[in-house]
Amino acid sequence: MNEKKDGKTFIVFSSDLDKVLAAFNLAVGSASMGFPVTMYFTFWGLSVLRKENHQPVKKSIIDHCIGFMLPKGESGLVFSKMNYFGMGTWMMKILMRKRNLTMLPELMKVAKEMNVNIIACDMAMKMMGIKKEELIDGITFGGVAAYLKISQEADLNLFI
Amino acid sequence: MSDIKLDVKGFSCPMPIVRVSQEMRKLIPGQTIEVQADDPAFEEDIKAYCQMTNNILEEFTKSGGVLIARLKKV
Repeated sequence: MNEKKDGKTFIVFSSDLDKVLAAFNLAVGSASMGFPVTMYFTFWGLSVLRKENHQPVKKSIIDHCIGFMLPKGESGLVFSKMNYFGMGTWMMKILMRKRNLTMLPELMKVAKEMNVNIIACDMAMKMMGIKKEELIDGITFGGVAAYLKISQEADLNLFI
Repeated sequence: MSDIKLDVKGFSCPMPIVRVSQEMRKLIPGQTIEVQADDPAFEEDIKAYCQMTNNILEEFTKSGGVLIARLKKV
């Protein structure tokens, strides 16, 4: 229970690299300031949490197809603008590295170190046929009620 | 003299604040940390950090492009 009600919550709906970067930037920054932070991943945002390698899971052919079409983890994400079939994202990543900006894998690692609470949306997982074993470790699973309970103890709730 | 020196030159938002908060956890109240950064956003960020975490910004100086902050843990 967070008595001060100063938590920050971020619903990550998008799987655009730019938006996910912004979400993790805000989450990591908030955690540094000492606030309890929750990130709730739903719909396309679930792709961010997918493992690149995992044990084979039993799924229907359609679910396998959907899994194939969705980005697999952070390395599969692209910018929402100026992507140009991957060229734009590739160039932007080179520039980010050159300018020593923090990349998504590093931000995700720091978020974990700073105990950012990560929740994957159960309903979206069902919809896209994503199994728990396909997602990264150290996360929890929940629905609307779980999110609302946390957001009530927060003073900033963003939908990204 | 400060108890810990932290160099975050070359890092940009939000890493300087992340590193400061990680180092601050190692300090006991009364100890100080000196931070060197060259991210222009660091000035506003460190002031906001100190206000919101109730730590004291004892000194803030700029020389060339380098921003130096001395924080005291409360």
